[in-house]
Amino acid sequence: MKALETRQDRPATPTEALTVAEAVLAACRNASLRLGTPRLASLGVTSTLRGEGRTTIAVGMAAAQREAFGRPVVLIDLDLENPRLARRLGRGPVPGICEVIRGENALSEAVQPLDEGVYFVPAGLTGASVTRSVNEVGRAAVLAKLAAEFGMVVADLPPLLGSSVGRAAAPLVEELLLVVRAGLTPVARIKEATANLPSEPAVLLNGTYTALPAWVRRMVGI
Amino acid sequence: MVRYLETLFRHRLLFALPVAVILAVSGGALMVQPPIYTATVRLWVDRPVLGPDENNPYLAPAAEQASSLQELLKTRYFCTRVAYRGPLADYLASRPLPQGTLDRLRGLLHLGATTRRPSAAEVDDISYDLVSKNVTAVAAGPQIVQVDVIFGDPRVAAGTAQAVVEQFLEERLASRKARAQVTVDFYSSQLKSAQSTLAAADGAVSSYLAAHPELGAANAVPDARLTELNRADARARDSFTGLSQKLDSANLDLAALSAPGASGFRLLDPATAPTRASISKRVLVQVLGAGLGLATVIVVLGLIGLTLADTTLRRPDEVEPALGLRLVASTPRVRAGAA
Repeated sequence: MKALETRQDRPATPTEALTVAEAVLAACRNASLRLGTPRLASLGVTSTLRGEGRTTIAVGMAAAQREAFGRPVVLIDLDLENPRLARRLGRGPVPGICEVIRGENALSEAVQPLDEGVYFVPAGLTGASVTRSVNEVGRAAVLAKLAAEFGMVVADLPPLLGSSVGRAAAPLVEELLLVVRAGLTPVARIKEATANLPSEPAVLLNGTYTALPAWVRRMVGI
Repeated sequence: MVRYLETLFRHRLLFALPVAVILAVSGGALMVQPPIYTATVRLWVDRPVLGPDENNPYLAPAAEQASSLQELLKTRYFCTRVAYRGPLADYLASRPLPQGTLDRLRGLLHLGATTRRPSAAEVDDISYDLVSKNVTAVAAGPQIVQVDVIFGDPRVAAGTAQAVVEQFLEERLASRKARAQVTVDFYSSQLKSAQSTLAAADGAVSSYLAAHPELGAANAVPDARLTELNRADARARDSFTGLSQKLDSANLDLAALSAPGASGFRLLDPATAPTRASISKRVLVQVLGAGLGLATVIVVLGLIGLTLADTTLRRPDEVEPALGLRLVASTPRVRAGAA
């Protein structure tokens, strides 16, 4: 799998599906080891606000499951308010999870193969209420069914504060990975987002950067 | 510490901007400073050929005289005498009082700034301030004293330098003359007293011989009383002679101080109007120091402010202490298209 980052503002070609930068892929491998993803059925990737790199990390986590552990994996777009994963992966937006919970399509019809052992379920077209759709996903145990049939589920969840359904979507997954953009999200907002979540999320700090020149880093020992 | 360094390097252009602006303003302020002129006088100092030598034998003559001049330059008496001796007092009296910030502002706004001439007392004050601050006296060698006068007008600088030296020589000579005069006066009174003592002793011997004429014979029997009177007379004469010599010497010293060149001072380089203008080193240091100080304060305050205002997470080791959540990985910033 080529390690190239796909720009989010243009549709990806099929060969660019699941391609992320090598550094991101390595970080996702490390995160998977620490989270113990081989024993997990579902992993949700969320963030405090939009624009923190949640979708890129979700793609990276899916790629890492397949590459590092050889597990079949299903990448599902649960950011129903602002679905971008289908465009990013260069796949059709429908049928998706919304069509499945409305009974318009079977679950197997919404699952699109991306690569060998890697599948994708788009968000689809949301109906009147996004909140109701998220609740229906939970009630219908869609993620459990996907995990049982195809493999581990990696869900691209809506942000906890930047979406009306972010907190409602968090309990749908077994383990939560919170993506924090370095130098962007204030600590107070992160604490506000993670307060009273059903389980304590693990954190992936995204986009770390130092402005210090090499000689200063040597001097201060970092 | 690392966080402050991060802030500094992240916003290096932002921090460099006020420093550059302040240094540019400081440079501009220096450029508009009025030029100054330095007039120099050099004086050869030697131990006096004639007269009393009260110099410290362990100090070079120039160092001693420069030290004396520096002391005098701290006195209002000396400074005002210099100002009136040279052209400085007239120069100050002929110009309006230096304007304060408020007056300058009023002048700029055409509100009628103060333009009156200084009074005599104000001329004295300004003279004292200028002379005490702008005149330096240093020993340029073992026997050369150098006097520098800094002023905005080259003619006044030269005249004041010359006046400093002349006033100093006058003060030194007056001081020495006063001391020599005191010595002369002292020995004169002592001599007068010795003279009367001698006269009394002579009179006693004469009276005793008149009362005992037999003692005047060549084969007279020695008389104890006469012997005693003769000895007292001899002592009085010795004392008179000694004091007389000392008085002569003191008179010579006094006369020597009035003789040209005998005082030990010689003017090598008289003051000439300087032709090259420069910027005051003191102003240069003050302006640059103030500029750098202000820039440093701005940078430090900005650094502290920006660092404290930044409540985001930037490094992996900040995550767990700040959030109490488990960090599982971190990714570096990746630019679009990076492999």
